[in-house]
Amino acid sequence: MNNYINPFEGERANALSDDEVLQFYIEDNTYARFIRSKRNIFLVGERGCGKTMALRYNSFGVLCKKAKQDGQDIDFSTIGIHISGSSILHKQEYLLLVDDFRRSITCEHFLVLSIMWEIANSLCKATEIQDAIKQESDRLLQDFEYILGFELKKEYDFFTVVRNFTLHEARLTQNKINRYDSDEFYDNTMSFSSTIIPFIELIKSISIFNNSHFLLMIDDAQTMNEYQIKILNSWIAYRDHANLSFKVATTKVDRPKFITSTGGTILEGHDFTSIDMEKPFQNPDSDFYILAKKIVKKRLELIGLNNTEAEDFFPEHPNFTKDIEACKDFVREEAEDKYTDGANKKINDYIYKYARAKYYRDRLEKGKANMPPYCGFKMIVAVSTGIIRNLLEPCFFMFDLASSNKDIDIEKIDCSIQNQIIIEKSKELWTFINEGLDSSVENCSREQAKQISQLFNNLMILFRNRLKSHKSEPRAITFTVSQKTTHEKTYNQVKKLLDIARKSQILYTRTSRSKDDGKLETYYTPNRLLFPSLGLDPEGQHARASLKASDLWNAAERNTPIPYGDDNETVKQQTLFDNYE
Amino acid sequence: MNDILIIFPSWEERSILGFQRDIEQYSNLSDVVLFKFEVSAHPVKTDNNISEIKSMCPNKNIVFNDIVIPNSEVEKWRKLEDFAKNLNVNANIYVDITTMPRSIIWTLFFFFKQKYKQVTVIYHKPRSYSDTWLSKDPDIPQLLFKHSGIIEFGKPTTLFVLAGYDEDRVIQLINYYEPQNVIVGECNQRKSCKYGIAKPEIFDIDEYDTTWGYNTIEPKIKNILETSNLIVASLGPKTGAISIYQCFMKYSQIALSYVPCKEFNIDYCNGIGEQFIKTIDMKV
Repeated sequence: MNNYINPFEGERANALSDDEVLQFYIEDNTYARFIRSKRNIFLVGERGCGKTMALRYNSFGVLCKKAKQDGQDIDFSTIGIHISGSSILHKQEYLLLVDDFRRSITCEHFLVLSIMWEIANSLCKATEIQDAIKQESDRLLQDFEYILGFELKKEYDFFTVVRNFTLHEARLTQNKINRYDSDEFYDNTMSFSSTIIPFIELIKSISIFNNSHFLLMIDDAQTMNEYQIKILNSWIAYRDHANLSFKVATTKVDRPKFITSTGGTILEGHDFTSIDMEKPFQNPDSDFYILAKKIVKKRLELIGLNNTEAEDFFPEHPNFTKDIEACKDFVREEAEDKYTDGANKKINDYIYKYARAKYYRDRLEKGKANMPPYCGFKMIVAVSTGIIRNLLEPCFFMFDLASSNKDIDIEKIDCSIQNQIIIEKSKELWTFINEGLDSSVENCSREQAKQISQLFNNLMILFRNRLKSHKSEPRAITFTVSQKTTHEKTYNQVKKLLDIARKSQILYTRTSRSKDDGKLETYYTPNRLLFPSLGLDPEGQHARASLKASDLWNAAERNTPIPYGDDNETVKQQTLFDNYE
Repeated sequence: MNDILIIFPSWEERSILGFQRDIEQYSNLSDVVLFKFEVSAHPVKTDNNISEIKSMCPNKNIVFNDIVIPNSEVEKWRKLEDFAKNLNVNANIYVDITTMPRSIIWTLFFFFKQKYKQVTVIYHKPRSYSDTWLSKDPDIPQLLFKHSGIIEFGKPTTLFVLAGYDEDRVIQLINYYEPQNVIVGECNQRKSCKYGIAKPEIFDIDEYDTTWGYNTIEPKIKNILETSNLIVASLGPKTGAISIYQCFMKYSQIALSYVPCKEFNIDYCNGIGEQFIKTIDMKV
């Protein structure tokens, strides 16, 4: 076993090789089904939730490797082409062009080149394809020259020639637009309809591709400029899905608008389907927990721990387990006294709500010396808030620390190390909220940073108060925001702060149906990593607190406590660290 | 022949103190061109400094011109383009980069490269830096117009940063560009920063040495370009920004990135220290 490899390294999908993607990815049939369908799909989720991994896994190159690994034939029915947010798409010279049309076609040209390169590069590597096009290369090149209106250098096979041509075009375009004059414009721009569509049709004339469907998988759409977004939306609005479809990965916050180049709109359901990548993660039966276990197990195989479960590698503190059980027993007695008819569901619900609450409540009352141990795989999953990158990062630091302390092979991570890293990262996140938002987060002013800091501090005071004394849902750490229509201005002010918090990844959202009227509602979940350094329970429960926009705004703007009205207790001005100073 | 000094004063003391040095040292100056943003940080102090600079000119028979630079990136570019076009091609150009934003430095150099064989650059170090923050409320990182390099498909991206005291800015660049490789140059005197999980390759650089760090960074950049696309940012002393531009003049496939910020710490540095002067050959 090799302990010089940190198995939790490489938590950014863009940094992984195809082999590593194949090695690390946990296949999810739901996503595969959508990604490999002929529908246009938006994969939506915050940074680190697994969008790029899902796209890369379904790319032709990776699936070819998988087929070879499994001893199977390559499946040509779907050809996944991953187009990442390359730096070429960050170029801004188009802004110097006065003419809006020229701006648009310059942006489209770079997008088209990116797609064409990725298609050609993906297909030029497989020897099966090389063999299939050997006889047809001349014909293909001739037809493609006709499409482009250029002569091509015919030194290599068709796809290699196209790849080299695209590289050459990209270089020529960039050299031209980088020249001295502000309105330098590359005349030989290519468009999707004049280049990509006929290119794909040409590829489909090759026998092995006759029935292929091309999945154009565009990553990081939230970083695209306004022209690229409109162009992409126009492509999505394109009616014919026989040959190709789009799979677009984007974050929730900063999700691109749906307007097309001609001022129309693409419609959910009609033009595309959205898939929320952020899975429920509340408990060990949840999709995310199961996925997290599989991810960790795969990673542990890298260091030779082939049969080690995640819960064994990240064990829970025995005292924690024992004390939680003791709390369950205590609360069970309460429940049995209350529900004398022996209704098991009611008793179990009661235990679910109050056992952990009692555990954390008791410790809050005893103060700093009795902080709960934050360790165990369940705890790591809880503080990840359902985001894969947030799961792997603390694991990385835990393993790093464990490696530095030991000369022997690591078979598990001590509770003390797990606790140390979780508390450390929790404190760092608070430092970021209280001191760093306006330094690091784009377009967050000093005032907004202060408001968000005050808001989050007051939210935690609220959650602590609820934990200590709420009668029905003491562990609710998710909230919705009310007064959307009655206090529109205040609601929008609060929403702006919450959006910055989401961009900063200190807040996540889920959409669910409201119990009251069945309408879709946004549930806000603070990054669960915030809870440990305050001695609070990051696991939470299936419940949400409905908070008024006006109360949230007062908390943010004036640092006033968020009213807590479970009983008639007056909320006193508190600081967040009362119990621990 | 005109000797023209171009300056971009800020609220800092060294804006005035440096200008005093400049006009003493270059007694043949005929013109001073002063740039200021439409909306500048710490406008009251900045305007006071500008007034004082302006008041020093008549005694030295210097013609004072001020040019308001729009905050919008496109209009900023066009303004500087117009300015450079109208400059006398026979003039000797002196640029005091002390408090000049890097994007302005690089943009000016782009236009000067078309017209002048050489430009003299002046930089006044502060006496000291404060321990607290330097800049806040950043915008998204930008690739400078006409300096976005030649990006080659299929090549990994390396982010090459000359770090300053603003560790947050380095992390912001890493998070925005998500490069495959990160290389950070740190000044010896600066604390060794953590850059989150990125674990970049770190190298030492002295941007105040005789080459302003050029001899350190040029071979590294040349090496990186053999296998990687390269985005370069300068967050340390402005002398490093000049060395980076010299590298760009040699390797135009480099992309130059900067992060506009809206807020700066009024106390981020004090007084005036050593002066650095270099004549840059613009015809590389």
